[in-house]
Amino acid sequence: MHDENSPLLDGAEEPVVKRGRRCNINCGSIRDPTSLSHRLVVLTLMCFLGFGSYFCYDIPAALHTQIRNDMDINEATFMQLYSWYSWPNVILCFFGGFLIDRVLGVRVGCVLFSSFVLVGQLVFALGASVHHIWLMDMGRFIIGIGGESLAVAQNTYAVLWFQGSDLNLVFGLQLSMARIGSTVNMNVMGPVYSWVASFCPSNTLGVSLFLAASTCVFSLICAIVLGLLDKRAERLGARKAQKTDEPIKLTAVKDFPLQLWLIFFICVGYYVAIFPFIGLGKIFFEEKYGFTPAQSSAVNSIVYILSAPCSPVFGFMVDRLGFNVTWVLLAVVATLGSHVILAFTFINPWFSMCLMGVSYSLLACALWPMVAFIVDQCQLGTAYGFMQSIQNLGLAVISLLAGLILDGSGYLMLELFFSACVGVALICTLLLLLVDKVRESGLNYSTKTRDRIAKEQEKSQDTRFDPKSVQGIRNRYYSRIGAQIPEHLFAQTKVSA
Amino acid sequence: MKPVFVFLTLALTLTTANRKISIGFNPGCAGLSGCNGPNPASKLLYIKSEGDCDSIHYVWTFNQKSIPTLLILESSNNASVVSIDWQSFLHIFNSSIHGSIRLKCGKQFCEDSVLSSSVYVLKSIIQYNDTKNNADITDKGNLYVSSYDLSNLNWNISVSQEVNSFLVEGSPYNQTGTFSKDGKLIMKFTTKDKSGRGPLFPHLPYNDQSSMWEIILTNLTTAFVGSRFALDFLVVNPENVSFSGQKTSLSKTVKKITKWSIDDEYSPSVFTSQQILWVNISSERPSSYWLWRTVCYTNVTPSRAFSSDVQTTNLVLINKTTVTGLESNHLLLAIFGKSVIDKLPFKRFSISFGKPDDGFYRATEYLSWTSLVGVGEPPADSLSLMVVCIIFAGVGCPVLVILFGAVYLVVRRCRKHRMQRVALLSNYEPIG
Repeated sequence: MHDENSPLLDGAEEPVVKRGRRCNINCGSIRDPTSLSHRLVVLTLMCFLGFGSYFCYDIPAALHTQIRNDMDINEATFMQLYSWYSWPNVILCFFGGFLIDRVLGVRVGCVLFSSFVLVGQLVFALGASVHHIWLMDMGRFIIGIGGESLAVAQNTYAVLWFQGSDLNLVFGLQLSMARIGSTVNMNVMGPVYSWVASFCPSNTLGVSLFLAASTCVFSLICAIVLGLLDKRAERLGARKAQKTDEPIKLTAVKDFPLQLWLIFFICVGYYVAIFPFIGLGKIFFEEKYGFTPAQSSAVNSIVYILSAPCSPVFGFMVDRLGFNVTWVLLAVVATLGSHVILAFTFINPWFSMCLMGVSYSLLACALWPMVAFIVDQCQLGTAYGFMQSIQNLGLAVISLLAGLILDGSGYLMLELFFSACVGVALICTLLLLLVDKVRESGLNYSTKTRDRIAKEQEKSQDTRFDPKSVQGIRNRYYSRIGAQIPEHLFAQTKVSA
Repeated sequence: MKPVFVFLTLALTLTTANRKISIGFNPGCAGLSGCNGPNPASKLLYIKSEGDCDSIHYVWTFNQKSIPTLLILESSNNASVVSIDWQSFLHIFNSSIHGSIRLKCGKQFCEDSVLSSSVYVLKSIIQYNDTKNNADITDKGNLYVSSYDLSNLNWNISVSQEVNSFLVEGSPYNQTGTFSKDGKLIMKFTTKDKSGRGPLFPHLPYNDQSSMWEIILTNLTTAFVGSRFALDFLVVNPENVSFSGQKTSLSKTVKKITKWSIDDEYSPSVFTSQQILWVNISSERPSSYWLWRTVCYTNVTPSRAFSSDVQTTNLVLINKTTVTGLESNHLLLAIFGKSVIDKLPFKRFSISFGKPDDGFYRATEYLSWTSLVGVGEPPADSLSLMVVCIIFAGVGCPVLVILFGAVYLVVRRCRKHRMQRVALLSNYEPIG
């Protein structure tokens, strides 16, 4: 991939382009930023941009046993590694977009955040080498600062380079890449550790983690190359100019309707029963079902693997059909079911984990777009920022709690705890169904009804939200959960193009 | 209200002590040469657990140059006592040792009141080099197996009458091999007078017909980099042989089963337990049991961070000739006699400790493993009250929300209907 790029890197000799020219010499060749081949290169770089951070996010889950043994720590201390990752994002997801737009610019932002991930992973590995858990926690904190904001930058790049239905595809690919990063990590770190153990038994964990940092180096290189290409493209006028967004207004929080708060609670209740569970899942499958470490890693990563193909399908389905709350209810009930099956039966976990993976994708596609239905466009950024913020807060707190529960009361209690969290999400979903029906906010309308109402509204009032705003789509949620971008946003983007 | 009350009274009756427990060290042996001095040749512990209509007798021997042996008898007569004819018991080369331990009810022998009996022999400590790091003692690739016979240990016993337990520390007469640097095998045996759960991990549930048996291996000398340890046991079902040495019909057997449970609340991430059961062949009902969770701990304070695995090999029927030391065991000779020991259906197995990549025994030089021995059915492991409450709340709350929502919607619709009817009648258009 980099060979293809190499001629582009010495872009200094590029002729200055006259204003108004659509392309310079070698029109349509790979050197032309508007050509398909060039854009494919950019797309590839964009996809690999997040690979490192996703690879690193779940390293603790992949090396669960090894970290616990080598560092002599209990589950509570282990789960702090996840908690520390989430803490910076309780604040940062409000400002990630702002930082990229106003302060750093997408190129510098991207390189900076990639560097954060790399430095964080190096500190993490160093912590393991010198056997200090606090240093490892600090590493995770730094990865957290970089990781989530990097996803925002990644989305910004996508919006700048691709439009319309292309954008849909690009988000889909970025998400798949993220999932591949997680999956590769889950299935590769174990063997890497064993391999390192064969020649470096004294500092196996440290060396393995340093090796894992190479994925971050790779992503950083992608960020730098992408930055250079982007700069050149901007100079040549071959890509959209970066638009600055409305800054997030925290005061808008007090105007959030009850439905939005219920959506927040569903989000927190649901996601805290997924990510911390996957973080602790490996040993569960080994101990309860007698799986080998490799089998455990595979079944533990199935949620991520499934979400890659399921997200586009469900996104399309929910977009066409509507009935979002019903889908959310279905997904929550299915997830509750899979946790209950894991807690109380010995039914093969492949079944329950696949069920969880499918419902996880369904929930993402149905839940996140609902925010856009009930919040004004100008508040959408705030709403999503807030949603991610409390999701991260939830993840940070629940990760700690989950570790403590596992240490003291075992996996049955932990599964019950997660079931209770999903139970809270279930109650909130039922309440949302009720409130939505009573207030007629239309969250559970079919797409047909929704379109009809939108048409009627269009007749009565002509003010539509700013079609070119990337506020709503540059949020972390698209890359994390793989939701499809609501159809109405695309319609507008196409019009503006 | 009533079920709760019943539950509470049930819980109270379960936790109050209803058995009388007494522990005796060499009972009735005062003055004889084998029992004298600070370190007597005979070290016999007799624990009696007396209930309302039965009695359980534990006889432990830690005699010099003899392997530790435990006999458990359950008698339907609560006045029964194990009586020891010390003069005969102390002389193993004299044939009169056979029959020197009998069960007496008053002045009569009453072996016919025996409901169940079981014999445990702690033969040796096995050390093997786990070259493949798979913690599998049965792996043929793990060479260099060495066995340390426990008759080489000198046992130091301290009894705590108040807590119905005794502690015994085995250390070698001369420090060689496995025990060359202050190594010790420590056993703690606590007889329970009521139901409950162990205070520490793995929080084994016990009842008033059982005893907690903890074994600790500390500071053992590792001969290899990958040294792991295992304990070699023999068990026998003496009910196939009467106390007078006559063989009865083969109606009882000893077997090993592994139980999987969804419940790891009291021993986090341990889902299996293993049981050695003395069962009636026809009814499959256990008369005695020995059980443990498949977990051991590598630290003085057990926690999940310091937990390791326990594996048990299959029970193998052996004849006496392949095992040394049985014919010089006071307790076995006293119960069965020399001629019968040779034909006894001993079953041998070993319990090994450790799991792959845990740094082997030398990482901590400490292992503690807890098990439970008892008579009758093993205590059942039930879901805790907390779990049940959470399940009820988890099912109840969403149902309540659904009910509330449904009622609310119905009421609302009715009211709307009425308002509309009123509006129609009065020709008045309501707002909203």
